[in-house]
Amino acid sequence: MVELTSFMKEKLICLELKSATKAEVFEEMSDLISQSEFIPDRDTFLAALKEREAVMATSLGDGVGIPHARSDSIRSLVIAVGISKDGIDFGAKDDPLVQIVFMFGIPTEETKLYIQVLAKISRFARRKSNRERLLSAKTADEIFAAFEEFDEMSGA
Amino acid sequence: MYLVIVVLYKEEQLDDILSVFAELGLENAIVVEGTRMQEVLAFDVPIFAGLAAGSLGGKRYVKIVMATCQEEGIGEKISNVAKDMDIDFSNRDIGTILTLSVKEVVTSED
Repeated sequence: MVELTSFMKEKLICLELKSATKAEVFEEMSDLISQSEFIPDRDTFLAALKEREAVMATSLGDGVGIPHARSDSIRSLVIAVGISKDGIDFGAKDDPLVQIVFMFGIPTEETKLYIQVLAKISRFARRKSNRERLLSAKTADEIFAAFEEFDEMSGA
Repeated sequence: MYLVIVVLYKEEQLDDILSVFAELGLENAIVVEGTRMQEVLAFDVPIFAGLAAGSLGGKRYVKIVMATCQEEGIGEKISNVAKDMDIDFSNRDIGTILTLSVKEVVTSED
Protein backbone atom coordinates (compact mmCIF):
# COMPACT_ATOMS: atom_id res chain seq x y z
CA MET A 1 0.00 0.00 0.00
CA VAL A 2 1.14 3.53 -0.73
CA GLU A 3 2.81 5.29 2.20
CA LEU A 4 2.09 9.01 2.21
CA THR A 5 5.18 9.78 4.26
CA SER A 6 7.34 8.40 1.45
CA PHE A 7 6.42 11.53 -0.47
CA MET A 8 6.48 14.06 2.36
CA LYS A 9 9.20 16.07 4.02
CA GLU A 10 9.00 18.11 7.18
CA LYS A 11 10.38 21.14 5.36
CA LEU A 12 7.32 20.97 3.10
CA ILE A 13 4.94 21.45 6.02
CA CYS A 14 3.76 24.97 6.85
CA LEU A 15 2.07 25.43 10.21
CA GLU A 16 0.88 28.97 9.57
CA LEU A 17 -0.13 29.90 6.08
CA LYS A 18 -0.23 33.64 5.59
CA SER A 19 -2.59 33.59 2.63
CA ALA A 20 -6.15 34.82 2.89
CA THR A 21 -7.42 33.73 -0.52
CA LYS A 22 -7.24 30.61 -2.63
CA ALA A 23 -5.10 32.35 -5.23
CA GLU A 24 -2.66 33.45 -2.55
CA VAL A 25 -2.44 30.02 -0.97
CA PHE A 26 -1.71 28.47 -4.35
CA GLU A 27 1.16 30.92 -4.74
CA GLU A 28 2.42 30.44 -1.18
CA MET A 29 2.29 26.68 -1.26
CA SER A 30 3.75 26.52 -4.75
CA ASP A 31 6.75 28.34 -3.30
CA LEU A 32 6.85 25.78 -0.51
CA ILE A 33 6.48 22.63 -2.60
CA SER A 34 8.94 23.78 -5.24
CA GLN A 35 11.65 23.57 -2.60
CA SER A 36 11.57 19.92 -3.56
CA GLU A 37 14.02 18.93 -6.25
CA PHE A 38 11.21 16.99 -7.90
CA ILE A 39 9.36 20.17 -8.83
CA PRO A 40 12.00 22.17 -10.67
CA ASP A 41 9.64 24.59 -12.37
CA ARG A 42 7.46 26.42 -9.86
CA ASP A 43 5.53 28.47 -12.42
CA THR A 44 4.65 25.48 -14.59
CA PHE A 45 3.50 23.68 -11.47
CA LEU A 46 1.34 26.61 -10.45
CA ALA A 47 -0.20 26.82 -13.91
CA ALA A 48 -1.07 23.11 -13.79
CA LEU A 49 -2.52 23.60 -10.34
CA LYS A 50 -4.80 26.36 -11.55
CA GLU A 51 -5.77 24.39 -14.61
CA ARG A 52 -6.92 21.49 -12.45
CA GLU A 53 -8.72 23.80 -10.05
CA ALA A 54 -10.64 25.34 -12.93
CA VAL A 55 -12.19 21.96 -13.66
CA MET A 56 -13.67 21.70 -10.17
CA ALA A 57 -12.74 23.06 -6.76
CA THR A 58 -10.52 20.67 -4.81
CA SER A 59 -12.20 21.41 -1.51
CA LEU A 60 -13.09 18.13 0.15
CA GLY A 61 -15.45 19.52 2.77
CA ASP A 62 -14.68 19.41 6.49
CA GLY A 63 -12.23 22.27 6.06
CA VAL A 64 -9.86 20.34 3.83
CA GLY A 65 -8.54 21.20 0.38
CA ILE A 66 -6.42 19.03 -1.86
CA PRO A 67 -5.16 21.20 -4.71
CA HIS A 68 -2.93 19.15 -6.96
CA ALA A 69 -1.29 19.14 -10.34
CA ARG A 70 -0.26 16.56 -12.87
CA SER A 71 2.48 17.74 -15.13
CA ASP A 72 5.33 16.37 -17.22
CA SER A 73 7.57 18.92 -15.56
CA ILE A 74 7.21 17.15 -12.21
CA ARG A 75 9.84 14.48 -11.70
CA SER A 76 8.24 12.56 -8.86
CA LEU A 77 5.31 12.73 -6.47
CA VAL A 78 5.66 15.38 -3.76
CA ILE A 79 3.16 16.24 -1.02
CA ALA A 80 3.13 19.47 0.98
CA VAL A 81 0.86 20.35 3.88
CA GLY A 82 -0.29 23.80 4.97
CA ILE A 83 -2.40 24.89 7.92
CA SER A 84 -4.46 28.05 7.93
CA LYS A 85 -5.83 29.08 11.31
CA ASP A 86 -8.31 31.53 9.79
CA GLY A 87 -9.40 29.32 6.89
CA ILE A 88 -9.52 30.05 3.18
CA ASP A 89 -12.53 30.15 0.90
CA PHE A 90 -11.98 27.58 -1.84
CA GLY A 91 -15.17 28.60 -3.57
CA ALA A 92 -16.93 25.29 -3.19
CA LYS A 93 -20.59 25.75 -2.43
CA ASP A 94 -21.64 24.79 1.09
CA ASP A 95 -18.12 23.81 2.14
CA PRO A 96 -16.58 25.41 5.22
CA LEU A 97 -13.41 27.48 4.97
CA VAL A 98 -10.37 25.35 4.24
CA GLN A 99 -7.95 25.13 7.15
CA ILE A 100 -5.93 22.13 6.05
CA VAL A 101 -4.35 22.18 2.60
CA PHE A 102 -2.74 19.11 1.11
CA MET A 103 -0.96 20.11 -2.05
CA PHE A 104 0.70 17.61 -4.28
CA GLY A 105 2.30 17.36 -7.65
CA ILE A 106 2.77 14.21 -9.66
CA PRO A 107 4.10 13.32 -13.11
CA THR A 108 1.32 13.04 -15.67
CA GLU A 109 1.99 9.41 -16.50
CA GLU A 110 1.67 8.23 -12.89
CA THR A 111 -2.07 7.72 -13.09
CA LYS A 112 -2.29 4.76 -10.75
CA LEU A 113 -0.24 6.41 -8.04
CA TYR A 114 -2.21 9.62 -8.49
CA ILE A 115 -5.49 7.84 -7.79
CA GLN A 116 -4.02 5.92 -4.84
CA VAL A 117 -2.58 9.00 -3.18
CA LEU A 118 -5.71 11.08 -3.67
CA ALA A 119 -7.81 8.29 -2.16
CA LYS A 120 -5.47 7.83 0.78
CA ILE A 121 -5.23 11.52 1.61
CA SER A 122 -9.01 11.68 1.42
CA ARG A 123 -9.30 8.81 3.88
CA PHE A 124 -6.85 10.45 6.24
CA ALA A 125 -8.72 13.74 6.04
CA ARG A 126 -12.19 12.38 6.55
CA ARG A 127 -11.36 11.27 10.09
CA LYS A 128 -12.09 14.10 12.50
CA SER A 129 -9.37 13.06 14.95
CA ASN A 130 -6.76 13.33 12.19
CA ARG A 131 -7.93 16.80 11.23
CA GLU A 132 -7.92 17.95 14.83
CA ARG A 133 -4.45 16.58 15.28
CA LEU A 134 -3.12 18.57 12.36
CA LEU A 135 -4.87 21.74 13.46
CA SER A 136 -3.49 21.51 16.99
CA ALA A 137 0.04 20.57 15.94
CA LYS A 138 2.76 22.88 17.20
CA THR A 139 5.54 21.51 15.03
CA ALA A 140 6.01 19.97 11.62
CA ASP A 141 7.26 16.88 13.45
CA GLU A 142 3.85 16.40 15.02
CA ILE A 143 2.14 16.57 11.66
CA PHE A 144 4.63 14.19 10.10
CA ALA A 145 4.12 11.80 13.03
CA ALA A 146 0.36 11.80 12.45
CA PHE A 147 0.96 10.62 8.90
CA GLU A 148 3.51 8.05 10.01
CA GLU A 149 1.00 6.55 12.39
CA PHE A 150 -1.66 6.57 9.71
CA ASP A 151 0.69 4.83 7.29
CA GLU A 152 1.55 2.21 9.88
CA MET A 153 -2.04 1.66 10.85
CA SER A 154 -3.17 1.27 7.27
CA GLY A 155 -0.34 -0.97 6.20
CA ALA A 156 -2.89 -3.62 5.33
CA MET B 1 -4.55 -13.75 -10.52
CA TYR B 2 -7.64 -13.10 -8.45
CA LEU B 3 -11.03 -11.63 -9.16
CA VAL B 4 -12.40 -9.68 -6.23
CA ILE B 5 -16.10 -8.94 -6.15
CA VAL B 6 -17.73 -6.58 -3.69
CA VAL B 7 -21.50 -6.77 -3.49
CA LEU B 8 -22.65 -3.59 -1.82
CA TYR B 9 -26.14 -3.43 -0.43
CA LYS B 10 -26.05 0.29 0.29
CA GLU B 11 -25.67 2.21 -2.92
CA GLU B 12 -24.79 5.37 -1.07
CA GLN B 13 -21.52 3.77 0.02
CA LEU B 14 -20.34 3.22 -3.53
CA ASP B 15 -18.17 6.35 -3.57
CA ASP B 16 -16.33 5.20 -0.48
CA ILE B 17 -15.83 1.68 -1.78
CA LEU B 18 -14.46 3.00 -5.06
CA SER B 19 -12.10 5.14 -3.05
CA VAL B 20 -10.96 1.99 -1.22
CA PHE B 21 -10.35 0.26 -4.55
CA ALA B 22 -8.46 3.31 -5.79
CA GLU B 23 -6.28 3.46 -2.70
CA LEU B 24 -5.42 -0.21 -3.03
CA GLY B 25 -4.42 0.27 -6.66
CA LEU B 26 -7.35 -1.64 -8.11
CA GLU B 27 -7.67 0.80 -10.95
CA ASN B 28 -9.34 -1.51 -13.45
CA ALA B 29 -12.52 -2.00 -11.46
CA ILE B 30 -15.91 -2.26 -13.07
CA VAL B 31 -19.15 -1.23 -11.39
CA VAL B 32 -22.32 -3.12 -12.17
CA GLU B 33 -25.81 -2.45 -10.92
CA GLY B 34 -27.68 -5.47 -9.71
CA THR B 35 -30.99 -6.37 -8.20
CA ARG B 36 -31.64 -8.69 -5.31
CA MET B 37 -33.60 -11.72 -6.38
CA GLN B 38 -35.87 -11.56 -3.37
CA GLU B 39 -36.90 -8.04 -4.21
CA VAL B 40 -37.62 -8.88 -7.84
CA LEU B 41 -39.69 -11.85 -6.80
CA ALA B 42 -41.56 -9.85 -4.18
CA PHE B 43 -42.52 -7.00 -6.43
CA ASP B 44 -42.43 -8.29 -10.00
CA VAL B 45 -43.64 -11.90 -9.78
CA PRO B 46 -47.16 -11.95 -8.42
CA ILE B 47 -47.06 -15.38 -6.87
CA PHE B 48 -44.20 -14.29 -4.64
CA ALA B 49 -45.91 -11.11 -3.50
CA GLY B 50 -45.98 -12.53 -0.01
CA LEU B 51 -42.27 -11.84 0.20
CA ALA B 52 -42.97 -8.11 0.07
CA ALA B 53 -43.70 -8.05 3.78
CA GLY B 54 -40.18 -9.16 4.53
CA SER B 55 -38.59 -7.09 1.81
CA LEU B 56 -35.79 -4.67 2.29
CA GLY B 57 -37.99 -1.63 2.02
CA GLY B 58 -37.26 -0.84 -1.58
CA LYS B 59 -33.51 -1.42 -1.27
CA ARG B 60 -33.68 -3.65 -4.26
CA TYR B 61 -30.62 -2.42 -6.06
CA VAL B 62 -27.10 -3.39 -5.20
CA LYS B 63 -23.82 -2.22 -6.60
CA ILE B 64 -21.27 -4.80 -7.62
CA VAL B 65 -17.67 -3.73 -7.94
CA MET B 66 -15.25 -6.14 -9.60
CA ALA B 67 -11.55 -6.00 -10.25
CA THR B 68 -8.70 -8.33 -11.00
CA CYS B 69 -5.46 -8.24 -9.09
CA GLN B 70 -2.35 -10.25 -8.32
CA GLU B 71 -2.39 -9.77 -4.56
CA GLU B 72 -3.34 -12.46 -2.13
CA GLY B 73 -5.66 -11.45 0.69
CA ILE B 74 -7.13 -8.56 -1.25
CA GLY B 75 -10.57 -9.13 0.26
CA GLU B 76 -9.23 -8.64 3.76
CA LYS B 77 -7.36 -5.51 2.69
CA ILE B 78 -10.53 -4.05 1.20
CA SER B 79 -12.37 -4.91 4.39
CA ASN B 80 -9.70 -3.29 6.59
CA VAL B 81 -9.56 -0.03 4.66
CA ALA B 82 -13.34 0.09 4.38
CA LYS B 83 -13.65 -0.41 8.11
CA ASP B 84 -11.50 2.64 8.65
CA MET B 85 -14.12 4.50 6.62
CA ASP B 86 -16.87 3.13 8.87
CA ILE B 87 -18.00 0.51 6.38
CA ASP B 88 -17.94 -2.74 8.29
CA PHE B 89 -18.41 -5.84 6.19
CA SER B 90 -18.92 -7.94 9.30
CA ASN B 91 -22.33 -6.27 9.36
CA ARG B 92 -24.50 -8.38 7.05
CA ASP B 93 -26.46 -5.34 5.88
CA ILE B 94 -23.37 -3.79 4.31
CA GLY B 95 -22.43 -6.36 1.72
CA THR B 96 -20.14 -9.18 0.83
CA ILE B 97 -16.62 -9.49 -0.47
CA LEU B 98 -15.72 -12.48 -2.60
CA THR B 99 -12.28 -13.34 -3.91
CA LEU B 100 -11.99 -15.94 -6.63
CA SER B 101 -8.93 -17.49 -8.15
CA VAL B 102 -8.75 -16.83 -11.89
CA LYS B 103 -7.70 -19.90 -13.87
CA GLU B 104 -7.49 -18.39 -17.31
CA VAL B 105 -7.33 -14.96 -18.86
CA VAL B 106 -7.78 -14.25 -22.56
CA THR B 107 -6.98 -10.69 -23.48
CA SER B 108 -4.53 -8.64 -25.51
CA GLU B 109 -0.91 -8.85 -24.44
CA ASP B 110 -0.59 -5.09 -23.87
